[in-house]
Amino acid sequence: MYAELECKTNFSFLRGASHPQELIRQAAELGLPALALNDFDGVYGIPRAYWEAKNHAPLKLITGASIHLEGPSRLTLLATNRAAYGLLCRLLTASHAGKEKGQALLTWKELESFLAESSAQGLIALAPLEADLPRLTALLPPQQLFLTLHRLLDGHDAQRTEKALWLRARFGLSLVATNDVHYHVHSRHRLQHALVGIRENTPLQKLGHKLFSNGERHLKSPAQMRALFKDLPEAIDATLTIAERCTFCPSELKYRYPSEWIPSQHTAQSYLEELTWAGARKRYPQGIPEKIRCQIHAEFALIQKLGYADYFLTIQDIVAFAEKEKILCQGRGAAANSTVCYCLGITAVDPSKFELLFERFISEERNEPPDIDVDFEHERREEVLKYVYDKYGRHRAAMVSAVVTYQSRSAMRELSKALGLEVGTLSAKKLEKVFAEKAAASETKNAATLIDELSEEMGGFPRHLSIHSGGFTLSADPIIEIVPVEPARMEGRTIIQWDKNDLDFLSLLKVDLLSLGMLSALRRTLALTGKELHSLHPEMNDPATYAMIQKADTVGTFQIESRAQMSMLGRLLPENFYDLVIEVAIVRPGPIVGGMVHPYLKRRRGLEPPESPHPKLEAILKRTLGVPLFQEQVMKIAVDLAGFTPGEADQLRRAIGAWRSSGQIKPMAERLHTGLIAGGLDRAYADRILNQVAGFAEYGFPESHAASFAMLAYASCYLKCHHPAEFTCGLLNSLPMGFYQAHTLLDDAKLHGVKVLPVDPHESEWECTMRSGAIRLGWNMVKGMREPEAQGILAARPFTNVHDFLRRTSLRRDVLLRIAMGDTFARFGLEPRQALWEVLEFHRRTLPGQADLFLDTAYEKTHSSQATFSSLNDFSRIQEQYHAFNLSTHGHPMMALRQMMPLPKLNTQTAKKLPNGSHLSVSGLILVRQKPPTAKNMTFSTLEDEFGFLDMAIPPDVYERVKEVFLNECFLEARGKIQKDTNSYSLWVLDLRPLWRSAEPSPLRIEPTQYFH
Amino acid sequence: MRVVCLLLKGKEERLHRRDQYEERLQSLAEACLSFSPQVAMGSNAVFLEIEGSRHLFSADECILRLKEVLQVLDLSASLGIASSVPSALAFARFGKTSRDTLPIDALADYLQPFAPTPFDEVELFRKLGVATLGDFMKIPRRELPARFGKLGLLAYERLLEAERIAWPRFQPAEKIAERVDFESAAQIHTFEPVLFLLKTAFQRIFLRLYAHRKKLAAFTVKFHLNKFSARAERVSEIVLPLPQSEVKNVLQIAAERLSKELELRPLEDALEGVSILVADTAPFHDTQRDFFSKVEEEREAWASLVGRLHERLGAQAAFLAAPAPRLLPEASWSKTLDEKERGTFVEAPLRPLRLLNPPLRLQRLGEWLIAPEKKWRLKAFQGPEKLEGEWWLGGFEREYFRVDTEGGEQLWVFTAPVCVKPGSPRALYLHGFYD
Repeated sequence: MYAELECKTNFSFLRGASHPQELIRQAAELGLPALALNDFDGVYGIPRAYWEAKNHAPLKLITGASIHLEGPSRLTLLATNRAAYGLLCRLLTASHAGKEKGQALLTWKELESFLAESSAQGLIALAPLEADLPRLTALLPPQQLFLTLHRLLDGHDAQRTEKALWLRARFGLSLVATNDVHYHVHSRHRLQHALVGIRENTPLQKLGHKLFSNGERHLKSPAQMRALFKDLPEAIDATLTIAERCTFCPSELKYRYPSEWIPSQHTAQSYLEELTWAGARKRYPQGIPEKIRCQIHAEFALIQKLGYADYFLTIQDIVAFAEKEKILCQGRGAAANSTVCYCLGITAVDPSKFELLFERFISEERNEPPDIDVDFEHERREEVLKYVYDKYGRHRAAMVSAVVTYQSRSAMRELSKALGLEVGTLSAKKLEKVFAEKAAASETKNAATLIDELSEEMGGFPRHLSIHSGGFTLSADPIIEIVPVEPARMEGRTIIQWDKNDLDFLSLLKVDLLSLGMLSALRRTLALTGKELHSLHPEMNDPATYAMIQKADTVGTFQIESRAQMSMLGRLLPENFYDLVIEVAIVRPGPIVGGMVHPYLKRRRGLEPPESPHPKLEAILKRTLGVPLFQEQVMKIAVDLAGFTPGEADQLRRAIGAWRSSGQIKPMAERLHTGLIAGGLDRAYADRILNQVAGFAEYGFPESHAASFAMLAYASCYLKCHHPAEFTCGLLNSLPMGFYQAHTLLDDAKLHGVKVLPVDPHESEWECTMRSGAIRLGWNMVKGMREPEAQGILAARPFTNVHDFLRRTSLRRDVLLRIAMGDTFARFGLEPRQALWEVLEFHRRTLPGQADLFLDTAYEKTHSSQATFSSLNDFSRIQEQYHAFNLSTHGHPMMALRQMMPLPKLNTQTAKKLPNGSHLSVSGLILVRQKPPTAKNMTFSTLEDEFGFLDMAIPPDVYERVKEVFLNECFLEARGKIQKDTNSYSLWVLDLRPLWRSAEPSPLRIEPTQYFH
Repeated sequence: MRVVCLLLKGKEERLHRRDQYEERLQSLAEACLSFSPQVAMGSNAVFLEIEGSRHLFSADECILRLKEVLQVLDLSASLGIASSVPSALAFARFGKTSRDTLPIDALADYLQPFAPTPFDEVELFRKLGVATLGDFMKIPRRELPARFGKLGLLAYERLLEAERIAWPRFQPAEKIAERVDFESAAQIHTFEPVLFLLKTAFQRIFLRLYAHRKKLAAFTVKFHLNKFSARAERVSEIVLPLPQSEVKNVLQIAAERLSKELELRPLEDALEGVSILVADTAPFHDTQRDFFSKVEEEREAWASLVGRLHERLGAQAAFLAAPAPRLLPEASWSKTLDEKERGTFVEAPLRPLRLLNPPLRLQRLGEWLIAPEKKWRLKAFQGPEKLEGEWWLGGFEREYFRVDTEGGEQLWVFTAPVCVKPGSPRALYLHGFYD
């Protein structure tokens, strides 16, 4: 027998060419008793390998890592027991600490101090022949230090053997045979070569001897290895001795939640129950309904059985902190299925109202930890993170990483470069379009085929680790004894070496602390209106709000403000909260790709009966009129009709999530399809379900998630409807967020009768404020202005004149120039150009180090200027305000343009009053440019003028003709015919022309808020 | 003062390389010297002062002649005439004839007419509604320095032409060329007399090159034929494999090339003389040679030898070998003439010095390796060394062995599949000999 002790997975980035799972499967197939994974500077691949190894007993997975030591060589360390594993993690953490990404290094001094610990006795070191053996032998006894010898048939075997035998005799160490494995099978050596090309950023044709000279670094069978080492059988035997000594298994990574703060008279479960009942009494002030009481008891039972009470308490604690600090937060995702979460204040959706299923959140059958995602105000999430770090300490709390993987496009681009194709600066997306041409022009034989084959192999390979959007893991024990921690690219952030799914594999718990801009905007709006979020029309059935929503008057609201959502609102006409839930979920690739949108709309309008093609589907699809719109429904269909178990359905859900990065979905999708047909569905319907599954892979919402988002959507709509000024003010202060820029939000507010006051030296605060029902723009609207500078203004006022302002504030020149031209000094009776003239003088006189015979350095204005300048016209005034604030209080640019040039008489609102199919011309500012992949090559855009918006649909043939104008101009005249569908209006474009027809570019460029997707 | 500005435009954009562009500009400036001794060159314009030449030709005539020059040089340019350099440039650039109607962007031309760079403050003037230089001149002069510093004032003064601008005199670039003539034209039957002329010319050339601290990299040789000949001259261009600083080395290479050329195609008529024009040079860093080191001289002599062998035997027979980034042994080196292309040193296992091209198919019969006309008795072998890769070129897979023969030779043999099909039988080949 033989055990392979040196093996790199693809987590040795751009070095290893096989997934951990592939290596495990191959090792099992070859009959190896054990396989050690030792990636460069980490244990990244261990969870995935462990998950796979569970299916391949008796194969033993040995955990190790190859560390970069000072000097030219590396050292492979294997953990024989839990204590040694903990030490290895700490050692790896130290090697990454304070280093650049990919530059991990351990000093001899550090190694020495780690090896002095008692747990070091559980480590086994495999030293290469180039290692500094005198130093290593001083640190490690012979039973822990082995010399590795490879037989790679590369022409150096004899030389290596000679050296190894000499070193063995010299230092009294044992030799151990390894094959320095970089891929699981021989054929993968091609990909390994390509990875080297990517790593070295050099085409393969120029790499020569930097590549391995043959494909021998694959897993070999015991017989093959024994044959290679027939002259040194003891080196093979040593592998088995070492493997036997390695008893550590990742399943030993028992997880304990920090729970020292639980009151001493309580267990975690009893404390959870106490808090839940207290919460329930608040949620149901009229008395807890029996149904709810039963549900809570049922959830308690499962939580206790699975031991998740600590987890719930941890989340509750974080949410309670946010509540105490008045930070708005709300749980999303599957947690909304839980009544306990609702009572604890983690989520805002009452599951009993939406028939949500607790089993979707926690299931005994799935036996996996629950996943709670909580959104916090985007500007204050840092406070929450700091609280977590402060409470648990950095040694016990860490952010999980997100393993960024190669997708087919990115793999294709990198491989094209490696194979010497002229890629230049082409993006992956653009390359895809010209790939055939580039491949044909390449000198490489069959370049296209080779790249296709390799990119298929490379799909899902880890590319690098990045910070997960908010995933945290907490532990009672030091986290760095469970998994190594390394610095993230973001200053001061550290991440663990495993991602969210890896934690699941090891049953480790994590919490997602995410940020959401709308929560910041809502908190600000609520503060201005003096209201509480939960008191906003608790029944969520305010007619005025729904009337506004039905008119698609939703600029600035949450989730339903995009062009596509607005268009859907006018057709779906939401009447109640559940309609909003559907609205949030329906404009997603899942339902769109699955062809579910039109059938749903038809049924809603009574144009088609809400029938299900199978009796079993009726119960599942009743609330969505027989049309599957939510992930849960697809899962349920899989169980009820295609014969999936709930566990398999959940695997299907996971596979959908990882659709593009793994090949797991294909067999499951095929099984679903066959199962649905066998279950009695016709092929066409099964095809649609399958398409929808594919769509969910792009993006699809579970019902519980849609319900959570719909709550926020309703709250934002309610506030916009009843407090438009405060709502806009809250949004402006929370930018950047949402779809629209400040000018669009402000113009929309003006259309709702909101008065907007300009930035004023005496009146404006740092943020926008409410003044007698009007919005007073704050200094935060000024481009380039920083808060301390604005605070300086607030502290220095009042000012007697512009000179006084300039003298007693310390604004940068660029900011001063902008605000001068933005009409901010009108308060001092100055026209913008005159103000600019004053600012220029002030700045020149106060330049440091400028001694001028004719100028006083102290700025004391003693005489007025004799220079005269013409006044700005309306358009220039608006233009200058856009330059200063990205908005104008003076008016919409289109208003000024109408005075300057002859434009079509119709505007975006009068156009909507024409009969369906009428031909018309209308002019406006381009707000949005979109070409969704699901829209059959159609291009969409939104035109804005001083009266509102009008959506435009540009068919492909017209787009080809007008794309130069469409992509480069911001003010356009559109000719086409109006299309109406209930409250949804759009212009079917036949032609586009620029308003600015001179050779000079338009003097005002306003970039659209959404670009092509 | 009367200044003409020729601002290159239009088709000059075709001249992508900056040096090419500058060469053309130089030519134009050089040509302009025939109109006026006061010529200056800007970054994309040529200026000439024609006031002093008024007695030679009128302004109209000057323009007419300049147009001819542009035509001959295949250039197109905008032309501006004014009483100052900046105005001439601005007129040429913006196609105006009055200062006040010039756009405010022309301020940059007034500040640095010979190397205009964008004047950032122009944008501020535009914001102030100052669109033309006429508007600019309406601003009270005394208020300018307080806002725009000395540049504001300078621009104002230059617009008033109150500020003189130093005129950077144009001097044409020096060409290194030498001509040596016979006392009287002579018919050439052997190369010997030409060599004497060449030697003298090269000696002069190198004297001048040393002064410039340059080495000779390329040159043109012109054979000047009898002036009554139908063809006035014969031209040969020679690029040296390595820049040279010694007459003897260059002479050897030139002799190799030119003698062969003249042998193949004798001169049509009697030779009056020979001229050499330096076409390219390389920097010669050492101001003084190291007395104790002959490294550089040896390198030059080596390059000269290779160059001569190359000239005599042809490109395929004499060359330098450089390692190439290939795994396939017979492709792991390439031919070069440039000594700088040394390739990268590779730590590969020991390779034989002599390779067979193509490898020789062998048969093995017991202890014998048999080739069509020779056989070796196998004594011992080492290996295999497995070489496999270059799959992007179709791929190869070989197992190499070092074989010791009874006759004391050491062979490099390999086995490889006879065809690319998986599982195809392997054949044995002799690829080289170790020395």
